[in-house]
Amino acid sequence: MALMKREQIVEGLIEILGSENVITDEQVLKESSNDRYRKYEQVCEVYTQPIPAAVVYVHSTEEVAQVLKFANEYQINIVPRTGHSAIEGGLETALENSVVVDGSKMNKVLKVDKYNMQVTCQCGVPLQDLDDMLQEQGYTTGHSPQSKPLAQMGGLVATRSIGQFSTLYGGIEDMVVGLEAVFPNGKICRIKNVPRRSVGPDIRNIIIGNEGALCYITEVTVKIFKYRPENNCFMGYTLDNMKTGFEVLREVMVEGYKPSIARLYDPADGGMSFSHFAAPGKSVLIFTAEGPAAIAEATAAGIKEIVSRFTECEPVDPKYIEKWFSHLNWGAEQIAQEREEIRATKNIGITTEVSGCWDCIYEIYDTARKRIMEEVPDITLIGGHSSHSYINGTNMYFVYYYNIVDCPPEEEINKYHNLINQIICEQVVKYGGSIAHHHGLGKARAHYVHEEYGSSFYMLDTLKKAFDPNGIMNMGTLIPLRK
Amino acid sequence: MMKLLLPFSITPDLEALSEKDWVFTSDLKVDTSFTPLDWNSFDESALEMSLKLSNQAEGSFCFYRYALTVGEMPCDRFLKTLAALKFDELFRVNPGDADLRFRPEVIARIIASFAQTYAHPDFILMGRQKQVGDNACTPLLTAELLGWPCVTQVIEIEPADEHRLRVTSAVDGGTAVQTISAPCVLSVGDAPCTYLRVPTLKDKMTYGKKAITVMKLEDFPEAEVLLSSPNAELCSLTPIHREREGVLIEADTPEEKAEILYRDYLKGRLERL
Amino acid sequence: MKAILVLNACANDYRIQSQFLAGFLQQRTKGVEADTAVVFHTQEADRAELLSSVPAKEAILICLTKARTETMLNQLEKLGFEQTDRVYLFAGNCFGSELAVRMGQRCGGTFLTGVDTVQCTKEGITVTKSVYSGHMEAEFALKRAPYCLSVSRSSAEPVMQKGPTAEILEEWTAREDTENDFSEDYTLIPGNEEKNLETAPFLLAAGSGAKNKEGIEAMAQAAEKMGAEFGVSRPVAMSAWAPMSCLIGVSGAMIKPEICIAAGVSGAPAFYAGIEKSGFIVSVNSDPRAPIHRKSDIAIVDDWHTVLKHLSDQFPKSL
Repeated sequence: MALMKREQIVEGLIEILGSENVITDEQVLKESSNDRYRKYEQVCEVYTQPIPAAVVYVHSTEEVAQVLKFANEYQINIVPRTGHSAIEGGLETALENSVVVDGSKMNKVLKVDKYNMQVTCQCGVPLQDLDDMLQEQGYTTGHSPQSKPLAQMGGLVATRSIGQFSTLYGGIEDMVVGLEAVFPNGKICRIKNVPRRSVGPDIRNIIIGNEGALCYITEVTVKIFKYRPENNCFMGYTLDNMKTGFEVLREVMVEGYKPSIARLYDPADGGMSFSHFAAPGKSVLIFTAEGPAAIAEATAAGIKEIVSRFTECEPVDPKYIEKWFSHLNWGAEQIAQEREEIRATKNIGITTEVSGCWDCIYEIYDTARKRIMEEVPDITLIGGHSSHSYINGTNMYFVYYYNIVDCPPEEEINKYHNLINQIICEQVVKYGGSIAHHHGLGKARAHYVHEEYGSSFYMLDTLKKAFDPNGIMNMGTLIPLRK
Repeated sequence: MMKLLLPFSITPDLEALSEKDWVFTSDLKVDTSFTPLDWNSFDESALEMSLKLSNQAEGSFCFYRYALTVGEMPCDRFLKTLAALKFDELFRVNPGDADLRFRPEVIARIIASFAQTYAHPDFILMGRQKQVGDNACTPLLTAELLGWPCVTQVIEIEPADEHRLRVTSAVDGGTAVQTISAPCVLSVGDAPCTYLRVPTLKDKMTYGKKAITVMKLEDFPEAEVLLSSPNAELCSLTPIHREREGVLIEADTPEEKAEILYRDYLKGRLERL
Repeated sequence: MKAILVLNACANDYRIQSQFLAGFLQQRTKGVEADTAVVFHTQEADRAELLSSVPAKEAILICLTKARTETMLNQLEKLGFEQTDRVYLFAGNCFGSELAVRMGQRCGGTFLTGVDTVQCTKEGITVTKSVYSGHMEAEFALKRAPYCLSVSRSSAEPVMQKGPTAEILEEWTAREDTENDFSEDYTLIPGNEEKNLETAPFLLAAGSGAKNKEGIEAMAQAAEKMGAEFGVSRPVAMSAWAPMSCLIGVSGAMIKPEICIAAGVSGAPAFYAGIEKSGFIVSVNSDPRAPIHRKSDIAIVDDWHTVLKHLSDQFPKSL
């Protein structure tokens, strides 16, 4: 598709950015051709996707605009990237001679506005650094996804990320105040920071969750909150039935409580983290309440009262939950260790996150789990948890492990991972949920976009055609490539 | 059929504890109950090595495996994993309130009694050392109590024939290889590539429901009697801190940092070597 | 209290064992005095040389036809334990730890491995050793003599024996009985003697941050280019990315170079115990929260690959 040869693309990029910012090292290019969706290929260092022509580092919005204009003119596929922690194929370079535009060097916090309670930063600011810096001053973004040690602000907004405390603080879409983004023709758009406005559709949401398929996010402003960990209250329970667990979650939400964490683990998933206090076969419910002392206490008391109505739930020592809470995140160290274990045991763990209203979430969980057990070979564990609840429903985070048996690395994705994804997506579509709760569609689930959107696909398709008429923005993401 | 007894221990993940967790209570215990559990890595090696024996024998002879652990209820999850991996019999000795952290002689007595009165194994395979007690005594004591020989620092085993094993072990100054006849205790050291395999869900459902026999310390009177009079009595615990200055080299690129490191910190020191 | 040292001259690290025990006695004990050493040796051993290295006044020489621990144990039993009020000190290598425990059990005494200090007073004998994988130091009061202790290899600085040559108290050649009948076709494959991590002045230690075998090989190359010896952490050796002979830490080499660069290691105590005696520690790890940074003199938070490559490029070729 690109109208230029690989060498010419590299030359053109060097002209714009200088040779030090245009990386053509073979190993870097290979490692930039995929993300953690192809985890086993990554572990085996087998690369099945087209190798990009270059990885380029941008340092300013203007540079992004120049690179995009260049790509648009010569129809070069651009894959925007910041922290490289994506797990649904969003960072795969699906077309020949793609260019990965890495914004991780745009890492300045531009303004901490404590009076208006908002912080403005460039796309490459690591969330961990930002939140650590804020917490030292008594504030927090309230955003804490498991990928916090890796992810950066641009990518988090681009994928409609959600954090572990979402039940209180909301998803990233509830936190973003204003943005700056660059479109394929080089047009730089800024959306100003205001509390709310009524001036037509909320155009922030064209940018939030665009997964790099419409524009390149260069700057974001998000809300900040008071950080008061000293008020945190932790609660944990074991119970026998997932159905009861969903009922408890629903009651808590419907009664109007806002815990920062409300989680329900099934026995298989919970067994990996909680076997030191939960007997085999038990599900686990976890709540934390935070905020001003009076609210945290009232929230905790209210939740305790609700759970006490369900006699099946047995309380556990809150210290277990507090300890678990302090080891939530997933950083470079864990990834290195996981990689080692996969290599040694040929056993791999993957997740798929979906959502559904209260009336169907249990069926989605139960039927998908049963089908996976029956239909997928070499499964060693299938379980899941709900970790983000709303007034009308909740999410389900399927967690599954399998042994890779008699299967070369390049075939693993179809033999196991995609088969499991397919079963989960089929069950979700059947019961009317959403196939992706917070990892994004990426390329892994893009081919379910028509089922997911139904008649509203027209709107997504129109956006893509309008903003990216030459088809240069992260092709294959959101909207699948035509085979 | 070769009978193998595999005593193993489950350990809290000590690296998951943060600095402030290293405090102890008046009875000199560190609270690790809030930490996830894992296999003792030496025991994990022993368990996997025992399974590899079956692969290597390729059905020409078979093995009967007893798994034995001393610990509380959370250990059952690990025993169930072993059941799914087709271990033949599973036992757990509940220590109750007894503090066995620094009492390898009690654990060894349990293992020896279990071997003498019930399992009658040809070989006992176990890790050399526990993470919490760091005693590094249990396999040696077990051998002494049984009057058996012991091979330490085992890093590889293969079946030699129906009754003997070919054993590779690390010794001072090299590696020893020998063919071992039963009975013998094999104490497993740093054995590469011995992560325990993962049973499939189907195997978990088919074999994982095997009953776990739970026993009490009182079922082992010879061990219980040792409890009251330790030879080495714990008097105090002190957290070990090994901090240095940790001066961070700050520069824009890794290349610059390497240059600063060489120029300001290494060059002079290297010249003095 | 009188101490009896037990040394294994069948192994090629005999000299290190005796220097180490001499250092331990000087630096890590109070109220303990070594009067006798039991030295196991082979027929080929030079007896004069054996005796000159013994850090005690008198020696019992026991000649073995095969250097096997089962035989050594039977010989130790023959020494008799009637004089029970003794400390038996063993080196902290494989043989020492094994013999200390098994002998202690046989003679009904107290045994501990990896001991850091020994104190004898009128009130009794206490020892310290590290527990909880190197996170804690424990003090134990020992109740029943004799006390059979193997010493921690990280505890003391070796001391060259300068005193007079030891007198021979007794010597005999052990007759092998049936104790080794369980073992056939015993073959000893000597280790790579060229590799001596413990005496290297400059060393690069690699951890699992290397990500894979190729990463470890790249680090080893960088080490060679810099003229540094190369070692690895336990996870690296357990994944067979490097041979076990490269292992640093509690179960491997305890090093004390002038300069140690720790790259891609997290800094778990069991590993750190192996490098803590280094004169100057540099950490290179891309994770700013890795504990190793706080335990080093100089820290670089960055990609080890680029840092090491660039660092090794700075070294003059002749080094």
